[in-house]
Amino acid sequence: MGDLVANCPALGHPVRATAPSPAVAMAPSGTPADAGRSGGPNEEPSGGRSGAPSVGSSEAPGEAPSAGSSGAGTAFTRRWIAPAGRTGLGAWIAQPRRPDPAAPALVAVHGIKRGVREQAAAFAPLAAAAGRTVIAPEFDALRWPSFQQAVRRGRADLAFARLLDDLGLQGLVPGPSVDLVGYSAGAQFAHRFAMLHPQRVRRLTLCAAGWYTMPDEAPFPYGLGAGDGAAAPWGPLMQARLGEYLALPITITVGAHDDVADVHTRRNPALDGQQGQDRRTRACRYAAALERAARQRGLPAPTLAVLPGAGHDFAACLAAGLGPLALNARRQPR
Amino acid sequence: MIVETDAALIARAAKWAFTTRRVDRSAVAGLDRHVAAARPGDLVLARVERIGAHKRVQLVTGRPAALYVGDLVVVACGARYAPDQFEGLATLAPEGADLLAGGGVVGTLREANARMGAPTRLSPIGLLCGRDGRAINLADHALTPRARPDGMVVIAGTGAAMNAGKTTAIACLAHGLTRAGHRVAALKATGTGACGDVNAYHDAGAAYVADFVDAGMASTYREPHERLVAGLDTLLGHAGRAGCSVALVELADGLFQRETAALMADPAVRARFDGVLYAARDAASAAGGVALLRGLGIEPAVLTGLIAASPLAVAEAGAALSLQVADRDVLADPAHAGALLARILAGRGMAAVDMAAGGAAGGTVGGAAGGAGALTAVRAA
Repeated sequence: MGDLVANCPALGHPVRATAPSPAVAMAPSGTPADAGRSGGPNEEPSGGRSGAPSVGSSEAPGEAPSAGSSGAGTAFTRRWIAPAGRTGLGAWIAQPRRPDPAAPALVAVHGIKRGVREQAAAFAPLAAAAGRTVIAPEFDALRWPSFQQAVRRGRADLAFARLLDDLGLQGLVPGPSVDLVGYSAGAQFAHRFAMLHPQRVRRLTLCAAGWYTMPDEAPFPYGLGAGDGAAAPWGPLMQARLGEYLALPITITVGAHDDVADVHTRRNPALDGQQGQDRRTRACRYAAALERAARQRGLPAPTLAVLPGAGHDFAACLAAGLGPLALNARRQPR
Repeated sequence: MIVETDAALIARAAKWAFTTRRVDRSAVAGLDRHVAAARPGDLVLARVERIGAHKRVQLVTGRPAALYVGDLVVVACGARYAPDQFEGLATLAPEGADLLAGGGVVGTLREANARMGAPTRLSPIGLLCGRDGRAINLADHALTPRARPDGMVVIAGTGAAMNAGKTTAIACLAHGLTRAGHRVAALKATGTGACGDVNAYHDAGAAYVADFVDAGMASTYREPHERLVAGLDTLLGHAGRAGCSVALVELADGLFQRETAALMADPAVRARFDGVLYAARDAASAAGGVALLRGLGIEPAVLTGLIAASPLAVAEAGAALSLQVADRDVLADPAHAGALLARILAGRGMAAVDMAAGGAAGGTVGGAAGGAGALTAVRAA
């Protein structure tokens, strides 16, 4: 643990590094976490086309890991909700059989390989035990090739907000805000969405983002300065709401071994200089930058969790404790 | 001379105009034929004598109804100030009066825009009276007077002139802030009673909509300054009771209009506004109005209005004013609207720390108390 902190070059002072309980790494065979491993190293699990036909029916029963539970109390059902209209998002929903109507939904955003169904499956058992619904939206590759930047053509942020509104009408999203977790490109989307719409997020967990919009003056999308052309307004908009964003409980996670740039890692000299060359360095620098900005405002620091044993691999991150972090962050929500 | 009348017949036979929407028709007990005694806000039963500029009258439901010669209408006595249409006074002559506004304001024409035809002419039959024999006045049916609430964020919408784009800007911002999770009131503090703006605010999704008619005035033209301030506070107070955390307040016409100018010149009124939008049609009127506001110590939060539809005009104004320009799409966008509100709060040394619309994210940071559904604005340390 201490080594992990020491190896984060940007960290001069204590951003908390957390090794979560290993309990969640012991999901029994056949559970979503196990299924996720089929994606293999360096892969987000690829669930194939996420539409309903792939499961043969609109309802696919699932069971949570039964260890120590009565079984029925943690059961959930999964179903696919098709996109509404041309700009709507589809989503996998994992709903507990006994939902707690007051419990916030967890929304899990996929990475660039769009393992949507696995996102829902991965968090469902733990969420169901707390009566919480998991929503895994799909930004399909054709319509949303740059969804991770949230504000590019088509406005993924607004499509996502509309999905939450629609699901709210169906009783699946209680209240105005959700707990949001994103993996890889999904973490990129999640933090940018939260910076633009902090009121829609109750708790934010980022896992292994390729890079970040930093709370500094670099031009958007790298920082909050004015960007060029179509990117012009977004940095200043996020700057205006930075205080609200920093007031959220934010957990930044990254695999301990996610410290080598790969073909998916965006590289350029300015970005490398600002954030580092690999996801782990970038996560550490982002956490440190958020902490500085938060301290200036008298707000608590974010939590940094370096996930032991994990590379850039969703299943491994899950096994190393991503689930409990996303569902039950260390800081209480405001 | 007060004559007894068949209130049910009047209720049934007349077209009751939008300005009369708050009046309980069962309160009508008689008719005062002495129409020259009418005061602003009195309800007038009149017959349509000649169809002129206003060929329709807006009903209490907000639907414009075609007028026919001979129609009975119930309208409110009031003045009007509208540079694009009419100026008129809240006086009635037995031989005839003018329909000054389609929302149902009757008075006497003073001046008309050269492009306007003659007003629709009405023959006043009498003032509707209650059981006490007094003329029924909108003020008798107004919202209960209230003090403005603490903690509500108030943004004023001002403009260069009538039809500069104020209402569209307020409606779009109400929409954007509503989509950003706020409970928004859209209010109109000055102007002449009409359904257009009220409908626009409802359509935008505002949680609470009210105007000066709800505060008891058919028109605010020539009304005393103190009455307008009290009306504004009453509207804000009721918006607060309705659970709104943000109020957008439109001030009619341009900054030079008498009542609007007096409101903006009053430091106590300015202090009620956390931010000010300014709508203009073109770069020169933008420059003039912004200079006027800056002279009052007001830095507009955003420049909007018809100018925003013209990239060239925006470029001209931008070069002259160094001010953010926002068109209707920007104001209606929750990301932009939320950031605009945050900037306005920051400019007041305040921070939005909680704006949960009644859900899980209750509680606040910084020690300020705030209930669900409230945006709690706290002074930064």
